[in-house]
This record gives sequence, C-alpha cells and structure tokens, in this order.
Amino acid sequence: MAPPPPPPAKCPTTVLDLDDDLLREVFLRLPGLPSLVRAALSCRTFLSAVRSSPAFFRSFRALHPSPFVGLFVQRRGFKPEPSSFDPHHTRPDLDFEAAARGGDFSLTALPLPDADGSEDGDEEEEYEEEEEDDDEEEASPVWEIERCCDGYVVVCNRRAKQIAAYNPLTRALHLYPPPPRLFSDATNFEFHIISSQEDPGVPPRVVCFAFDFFEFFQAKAVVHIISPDSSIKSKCRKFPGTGSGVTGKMVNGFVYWTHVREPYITVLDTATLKFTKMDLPPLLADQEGRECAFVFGNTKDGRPCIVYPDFCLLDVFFWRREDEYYDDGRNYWMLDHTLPLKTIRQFVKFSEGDDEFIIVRLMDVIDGIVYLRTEYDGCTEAPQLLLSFCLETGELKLICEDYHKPVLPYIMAWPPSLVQNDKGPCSKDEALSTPGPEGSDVKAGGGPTEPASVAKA
Amino acid sequence: MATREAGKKMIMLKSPDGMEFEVEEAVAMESQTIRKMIEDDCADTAILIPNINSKILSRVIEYCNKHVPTTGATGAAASDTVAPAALAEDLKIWDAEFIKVNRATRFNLIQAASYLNIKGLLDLTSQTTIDTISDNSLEEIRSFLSTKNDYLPEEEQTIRRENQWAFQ
Repeated sequence: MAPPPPPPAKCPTTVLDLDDDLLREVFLRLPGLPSLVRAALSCRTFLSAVRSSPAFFRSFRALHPSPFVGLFVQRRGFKPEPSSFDPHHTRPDLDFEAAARGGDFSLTALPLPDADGSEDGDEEEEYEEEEEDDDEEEASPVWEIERCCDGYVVVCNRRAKQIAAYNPLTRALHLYPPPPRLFSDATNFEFHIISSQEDPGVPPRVVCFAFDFFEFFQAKAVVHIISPDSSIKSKCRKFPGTGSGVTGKMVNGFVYWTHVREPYITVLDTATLKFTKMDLPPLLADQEGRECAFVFGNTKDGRPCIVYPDFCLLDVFFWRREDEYYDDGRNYWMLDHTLPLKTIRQFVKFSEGDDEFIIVRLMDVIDGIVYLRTEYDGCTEAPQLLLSFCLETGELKLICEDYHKPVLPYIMAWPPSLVQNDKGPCSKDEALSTPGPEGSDVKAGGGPTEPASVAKA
Repeated sequence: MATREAGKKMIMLKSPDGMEFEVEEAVAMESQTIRKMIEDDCADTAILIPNINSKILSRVIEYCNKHVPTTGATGAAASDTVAPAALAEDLKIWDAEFIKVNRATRFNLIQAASYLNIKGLLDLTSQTTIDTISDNSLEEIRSFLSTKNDYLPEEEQTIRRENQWAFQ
C-alpha cells in the first residue's frame, strides 16, 4: 500500500507541514537521546509527535542505546568520601555535553542532613531514638551512592537515616523512609529501583535488601518494598536462605541475587513479591571458592542475560530452552555465545605471553553494554583501565584509566517529558520486548536447590 | 530530463500541474512506490504523481537518474572502469551539491521521498535537516526550523523544570 499522498503544496513548505510519521522518520536520524530531547522540546508539534508513539520510542532506543554520561566516583565504607562525577564521551557532541554540564551531577539538591541526625521525623523515629545511645561514633553525613539505575542515583545518608533516589538530569528527587533499624543493624544493604518509566510522573518504588548481622545465627535477611508516598504501606518479605554474601541486580522488574559459592541464584519478582531459585549453568556453578565473577544485566533489546569473563572471552547466557535434542520444555540459563575480548590488546601494551596476567572484572551490563575494568595478576607497571564493550557489535572502547576507587557508570534515561502519560493507554507490555524469566520451580534432585518459599514477615 | 534511448523501456510521469516527464523504467523504479505499481501492473502508460509539483518532481527524477544502478545508461560516472569507492565518493559529492536547496524545497523533497519511497533521498534530506539542528540550543533549533515556542506558560514551566539542561 502506498502511503497517503502528501498534502497539496503550499508556499513555502515548513517543517510543520511534515506529518507526524515523517517527523519521527527524520528524528530517528538524530545522533542520540540528548539531541532528541532538545529537538522534541522545541515546540508542541514535535513533542506530541515523539510522545504519542511507543513504536518510535522502541525504534529510537534500538538505534541509539541510552547514552553513557559518565562515572560517579566514591570511596565508601566506614568514612565515606563525598562523591564526584567525571563526564565521559567518545565523540564530540554538543547536545551530550550540554546534558553532562547542565545536569546536577554534584547532587546539590540532596538535603543536608540535620546536625544531630535524629530529627527527620518519620514514623521510624521511635526505633531510631532508642538506637541513638548505642552509636559510639557519629554516622557520616555524606550521601553515599549505592547504585545508579534508570536514570536515578540511589543514595543513602547514615546520619539523616534517609534513602533517596535522585535524577540529576530531570532533578526529580524522591525521599524514602528507611525500613526500621536499617542503618543501625544491617551489615549489608542494597537498594534497587523498580522502574516507573512506563508510568512517568509516578515516583519509583525501591526494593531494599537488608542483611542483619545481629541476627546472624538465624541468618536474617529481609526485603522491603518502600515508596516515597507515606500513604503506601511498605511491604516486607523474608529473604529465603542466609542472605550472607549475596549481590543483587534488578533487570526488568526482577531482582537476581547471586550467592558466593552457591550453585543457584535467588530471584524476586517485584510484581508478585514471590521468590524463586534458579540453578546456575554448570560453568558458573563450579566456581568453587571464588567470588561470583559473573554479572546480570540486559541486552540492547531488554533481554536479561548473564555475562561471565572467561580470560579474554566473554560468555553470554540467556534464560531459554535447551537445544532441540534436550528440550524438556523448561527454561535454563544457557550459554548462548562467546565474544572475544582480544582487542583489549590495543589498549594494554605488553608482551605476547603476558595475556594470562590480565584479569577482567565486570562492573555492570546495561542495555547491551558491558562495563569492565582490567587488573593484573603479576607485577606490572601497566595502567589499569576502565572499558566498555558492546555485546552487539563487539566494539571495545576505553573509558579512562582506573581511578582505584569504586566507580558507577551513569546512563541517561528517557525523561518523563518524552513519554506519553496524559492520554490513551500506552502499550506497556511492549516497551520491554522480553518478559522476565517466569520463575521456574527448581529442578528435582535435592541438594540446596529446594523450592524457595515465600515467607510472610 | 531523460531522453529516449534504444532498447530502454520508458515511463511517463505526470505532475499535478500538468508537466510530463519521460523517464527510463529503471530510473522510475528507484521509487519503491512506482516499482510496486509497475510490478502490480497498475501503471498505465502514464503515472500521475499526486501533490508533487513539477519543480520538485524534476529534482526527484534528477536524483534517481544519478542513483540508478549504472549499466552505461545515464550519468557520466557510469562505467565499469570506475572503482566502486570512487563511484561512491562521486555520488557523495554530487549529493552534497544536490541538497543545497532552500528549506521549503528540502521539506518538499522529504515529503516526496517519503511518498515515492526512495530511501536514499529520504536519508539525504532527513540527515541534512538533522545536521542543521543537532548541537544547537533550543532557540537555534526554533529559528532554523522556523517553529515557535507555542507552549502554554504552565506547560513550559513543567518541561523546563524537568529538562533544565536542555534549555541552557
């Protein structure tokens, strides 16, 4: 079918004579998200053409991955240092620079903690006043960055006893009441944003995982779902298993926790709040005594994946069925393909036989881009590097030399202004092309892989 | 304008303002829309191209003439002796000259390229538009595209608040 003929030529034709489809066709060729934001915001016609089409959202994302803006650098721990931000981009792009320069990456909008730290006046106050006496040293007033996710920086402040999600580009700030005794008792905690990208304007909820040292013998770990809206009651679930030595990662509404030296992972479906266990593939389950070197993430099209550094290779696993012959109708984490990292040599100059001294540490996998750092096993003067690797093209890019400090890549998210939220049903289901794993029952065979129970706290 | 050559099948394209253009079928089939009409046998001896005036249609034909896969028929570059890389370079230079048109003509060409489904021409015209607006401030984009800030005050307040960096 031929498209409808263009409208009769008036004189002179302007950009506003292009219909929305044609406008979107033109906008698809913009170099990236920062340029799109500027172009789309310049007038109502453009903005509504962009907002009204979930198909455009998908096509644009497929062509232009959400841009890596830079690295948050912060040493945490007992006496955390204030965070800093280093913008990084590989090609000259003024729109990108405007975003990196114009965003509040110094996090100045975060509230300063009260001097004595005990007056934040939420429902948890009772608990906190009791705890105050036990504190021998005053908690740090620094906002510590726990992670970057969905365009938000998720931070916590031990003195103010607050959790916050802050988007430095849109400057949206949400403050969360912490679960009781989180900052006084938990020895390990994590915060994961539950994406609200398809409900722009609605503040995201946060999954708060806390492992409690004082109840070590009962190995108590809990998961709270918290919201900045105090009228929404937070939900709490007991974490199955010990909760010791776990590391979690949110992908498409599912949190995946790896356990050191365990051959399985624990998965939380944030929609149903049900936990399941999944077996790790043999290659990853056999890493006896080693810390989990693999990371969870998603590919460019949103599909959950596991990436594992295998010397100078990257193994990519997907949750899918076995190959034809072994297919039993169930999904497993399957080795899907292996990518060479040999181009790492162009950045790391050392003699041929020294390859084995390279250790690749994966930091994160976001929208098909793997963030990694190199370390050396032997004695060497060579610099340690931060790199990014594209799972689709195999392109390896140098970000910078290593800071020898913890760094977190910050990825720009689609601003709510560009997502339809005021009229008509937006097809949420299609925004992420692949649903998360549907949580298997655990395979028969006993051992530690018993079906995970959902305990009510 | 194309002229008849021996052994080439010719097609007549008509613009709504009454001009007729005789072009080789191969040239006309650079347009996927026309190709489909021809392949579906919907094309008579003459095809009316609605809403694309003769000035724009002649530019489109000029583009197709240059870009039709060469078998010695049209342009000067058509030859087996020219290396593909050189040919591509030649086309790039030619395209750059071709697109030096005023804004109104460029938007007309975008519409025509879209209706006639000529991917190369749509790429060229869209990319040229994009190149003029990328890396510019919002005010500059508005002035390049002759658009206006037509937000209601409260709308503007919201989008400015949510996208401060984009307005700087």
